[in-house]
Amino acid sequence: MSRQFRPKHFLPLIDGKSLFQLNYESLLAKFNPSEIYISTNKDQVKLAQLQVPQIPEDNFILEPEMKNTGPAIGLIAAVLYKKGYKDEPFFLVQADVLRNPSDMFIKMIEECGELAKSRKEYITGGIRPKTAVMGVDYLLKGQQVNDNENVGVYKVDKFIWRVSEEETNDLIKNSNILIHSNHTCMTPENYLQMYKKYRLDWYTPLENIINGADINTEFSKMTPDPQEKVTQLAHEAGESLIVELPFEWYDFGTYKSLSEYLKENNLYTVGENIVDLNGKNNYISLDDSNKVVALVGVDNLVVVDTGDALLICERSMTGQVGEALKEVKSRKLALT
Amino acid sequence: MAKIQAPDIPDSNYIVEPERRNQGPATALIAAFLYMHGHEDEPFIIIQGDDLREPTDQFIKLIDVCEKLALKETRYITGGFRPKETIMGIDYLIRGEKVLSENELNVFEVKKFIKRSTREEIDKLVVSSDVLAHSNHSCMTPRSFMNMLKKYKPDWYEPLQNIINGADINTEYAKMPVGPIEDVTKFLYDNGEALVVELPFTWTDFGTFESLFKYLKNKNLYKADENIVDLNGKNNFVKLDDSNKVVALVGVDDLIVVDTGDALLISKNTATNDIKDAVAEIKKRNLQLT
Repeated sequence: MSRQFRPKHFLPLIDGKSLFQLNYESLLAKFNPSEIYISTNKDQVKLAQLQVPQIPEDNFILEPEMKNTGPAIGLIAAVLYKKGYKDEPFFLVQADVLRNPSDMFIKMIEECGELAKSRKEYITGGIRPKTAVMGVDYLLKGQQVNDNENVGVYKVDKFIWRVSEEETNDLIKNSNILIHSNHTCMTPENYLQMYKKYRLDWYTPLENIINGADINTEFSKMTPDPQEKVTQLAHEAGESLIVELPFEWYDFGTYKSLSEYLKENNLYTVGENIVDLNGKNNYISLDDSNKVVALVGVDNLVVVDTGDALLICERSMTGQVGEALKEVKSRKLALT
Repeated sequence: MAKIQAPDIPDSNYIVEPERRNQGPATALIAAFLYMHGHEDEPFIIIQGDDLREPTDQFIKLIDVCEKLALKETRYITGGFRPKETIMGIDYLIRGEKVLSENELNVFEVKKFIKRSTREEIDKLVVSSDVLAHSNHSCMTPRSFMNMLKKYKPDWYEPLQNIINGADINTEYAKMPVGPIEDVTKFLYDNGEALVVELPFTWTDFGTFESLFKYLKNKNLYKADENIVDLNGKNNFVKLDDSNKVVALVGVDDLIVVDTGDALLISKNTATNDIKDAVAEIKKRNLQLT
């Protein structure tokens, strides 16, 4: 769904709003705009500011360059630390997914925030896998550490590095098995201590930033890697807590999943400008809402017209859109 | 648009209808215009610009034969072809006596004109070897045509006569009742004053995108451009106004895709006959489409 300058989280996918905006709106139930920080880069900051103009400019934390999630989240912790919030828990909300219902999401934030004030563990989220998901690590949840009927927080009994498909199939039969779904909650102080223990080469530049060194210079010293390089070790060492997500989590990896969500929630409406003659199960997304579209004798199509590009895809094949995008790139077609 | 596409034709050869009054007055205006310019006894043939005739040398042969015929005939000459199957939305002619066979071209009298009718009736009709699908290729001299109008359609004839005599085209044209050419030719067919030439070429009218696509494919003229990525698709046809637009087709077959910028059509190859229903629906909804 994403393109370089049209990342998924900024697209008006749901009722004209982006996932970024919807997450922001969920947070407003508890927080003021000034309490919400945006971690992004200079390519996307304009779009982000356009979509949530209420957030003060000073709350935008810009990665000087792309270095993957390890350095990016470390920078968040360092910036908050430097602003004087070293002991105030922060909660990381990835903007490219939808959490429903949002009041349960807020309850989770509240519970995590309370816990993080008194505990040093890395607190994150976990989902009960419905099917075997490959290429991820699994966590076996242990004893519950809190007393909250809505939001269960658990110790991690066992960390299971990614294994073969057969082993994974076996694994997910266990009702205590969870997949890590990053919802980092910690104080900046504790977060940085975790880096100090497991990735000193990340910690040192961040400490320098806190002490006033130039962000660009220090950030460029950090080796790109995902946050998992640290959190895997924390899980394994029993230094993490996991919250079984009390809400449904939709990542809309494909147009199929998006269109199904919209239809199930009665959010998909066909505009007057779209004439669908005897068609079934078509999904149409237009940037230009005045464009006249006629579908004649077709079913199960996903149609996305952005003006400069047109996608027509069989519903069950939306997982292949990335392949088409690769082909577009290999032909050096102008698409941004 | 016409001048851009055919810039070699002199400006003075453009006969512009002052307003739309259907093809009866339009055809009659052609005759009057040529008459006025001193070509009253020189046969003209009407070539509709929205079909394709192939091979073209056979088309030229048709023109030659019709011209010769029109020089000595006052009857109305038109075209027809043996339909291979039922074609909807056109008229049919039953041919009568053969009046000429020249250069492998056959010309017949028209025995009967059958206005567009139902599929069942046409199914029955096309079995007969005497039936021709009408494909209008009117040929005659302006004088002959004016005489026909005088006889069968005086309310067209009089304004045209005034135009020939120097009256204002716009004023006179506005006086002509709206109507198809059949308002005159039906009398010619009934009274044995019409001839039909069996067309010696293939006549393709591209009434549907399917027919256009089939034609281009058969002639190896359709090639998906570099900017169209068709992932494992078969038999897709994409037509874009903006040749820089990037198109990705993923897992789809037999689609006709036409993107004009302001409008997008996606149709199953076999359903292109229904496109007009979609257009009717668009009109009904008063959507902006020109």
